[in-house]
Amino acid sequence: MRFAQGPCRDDTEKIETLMETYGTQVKRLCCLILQDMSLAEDAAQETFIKAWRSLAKFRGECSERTWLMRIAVNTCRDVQRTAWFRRMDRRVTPEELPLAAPEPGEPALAEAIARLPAGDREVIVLRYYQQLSPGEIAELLRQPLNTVKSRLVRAKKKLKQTLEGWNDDA
Amino acid sequence: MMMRDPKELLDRQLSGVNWTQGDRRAVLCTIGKEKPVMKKQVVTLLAAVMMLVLLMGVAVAATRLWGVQDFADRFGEPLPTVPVQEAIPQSGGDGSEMTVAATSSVWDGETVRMTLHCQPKAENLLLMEACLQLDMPVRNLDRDLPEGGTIADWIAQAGFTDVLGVAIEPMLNGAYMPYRVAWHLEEDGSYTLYYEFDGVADGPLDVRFQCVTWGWDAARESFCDDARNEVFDLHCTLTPPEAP
Repeated sequence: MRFAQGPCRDDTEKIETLMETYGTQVKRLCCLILQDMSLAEDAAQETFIKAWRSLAKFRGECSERTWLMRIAVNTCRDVQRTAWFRRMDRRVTPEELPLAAPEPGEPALAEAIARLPAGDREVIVLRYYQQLSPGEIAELLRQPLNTVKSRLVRAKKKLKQTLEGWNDDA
Repeated sequence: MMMRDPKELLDRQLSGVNWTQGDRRAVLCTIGKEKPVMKKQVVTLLAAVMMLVLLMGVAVAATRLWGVQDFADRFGEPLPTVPVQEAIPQSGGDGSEMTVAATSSVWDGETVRMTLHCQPKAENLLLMEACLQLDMPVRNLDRDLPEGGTIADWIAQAGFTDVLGVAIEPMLNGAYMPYRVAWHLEEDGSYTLYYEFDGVADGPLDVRFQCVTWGWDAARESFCDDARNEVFDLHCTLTPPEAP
C-alpha cells in the first residue's frame, strides 16, 4: 500500500513504464470508444497524465491495468461530454478510423463496434478488447452487474446482426 | 464464420493505432510543467472558492439567457474589443416544434461569435444536440444527478416527457464551413447554442443557419426518427464592426 502524497520522481519513472506497457492498449481503447483518431490520441495522453497525478492514491485495490482502463474510460466520457468543443465533426463515421481491412473471412469487428451506440460500445470494448469479466466491468463503470450483463447481451445481439454468422460467446 | 479471439481480431484491425514517441513526449512535457503539489493544492482551493463565487453568480442570474460573453467566460477566452450586438436583424427560424433566434454576436471583421436560442413550442419538450444519446452520462447536458446517471434518468426526474434532436449548421454564401459549437441548457429547458467561425467581410455579413430536427428512435437509440425530421432556416445579418 502506498501513502497519499504528491507525484515524485519515482512516479514519473513509473508512468514511463505504464506508457510503455499499456500505451497502445489505452490508445486503441480510446479509439474504439470515441470513434475519432484525433480525440483518441488526446484522451490516451490525458489518461496517463491523470494516472501520474493520482499514482499516489492508487492502493493496489484492483489491477494496475483495470485502474488505468477506468481512468481511460472516464477520460473518454469527459471527451464525449466536451466533444462539442472541437471543430465541426459531429457525425464522425467509422470509415474515418484508421482500421486495417479484415482478412478474407474475418469479421470487421472493430468497425462493427464503432457503429454501436456509445453505452453498448463501452461495455463491449471492455469485454472483448480488455477481456474483463462482467463483474470487473460493473466495478470499473460503477454500474450494477445486471445492467452490465444486459448491456452486453444487447450489444452482442447487435454485433451478431451486423456481422453475419458472428457467434462469439466471450 | 470462423471463431477468432476478439482481442486478437481487434488488435489486428487496429494495428494502425499505436502509442508513439510523440504521445510519450506530450505526456512527459505536461508532467514536467505541473506545479509542485503544495502549490497545486492552493490553486485547487482557490479554484474551488472561485467556482463557488461563480455558482452563486449564476444562481442569481439564472433567469437570464446565455450570450457570447458567458461562453467566452466558460472558455476562459477574452472577446475582441468590439461591442456585443444583441439586436440582430433576422428572419425565419420558425419550425413546427421549435423556434430559433439569434440573441447575441461579436464580429470583429474576421471571426464571428454568435449565440442562438432554441425554444421548444411544446411544454415538457426537451431540445438536445442530435449527436447526444439518451444513455450518455447526464454531464453531457451540463446537469448532474447525485448518483451520476444518464441523460434519460435526468429527463425522467426533470419531468420532460419528450425529446427532440437538433442540429444547426451555419452557412456563409451558401456553403458550409468549419465552426466551433458549444451549448448551454437553460433553466427552463430551452437551450442556447454558441457558434464561432471565420467570417471575413468589409460590409454586412449574411449568415444562414440550417436547422434540422429529428425525433428519438428508441430501436436505433439515436436521433434518427425521420417522422419528426424538419429542415428550416434562420437568416441573420451582422453589422460590420465600427472603425476605431
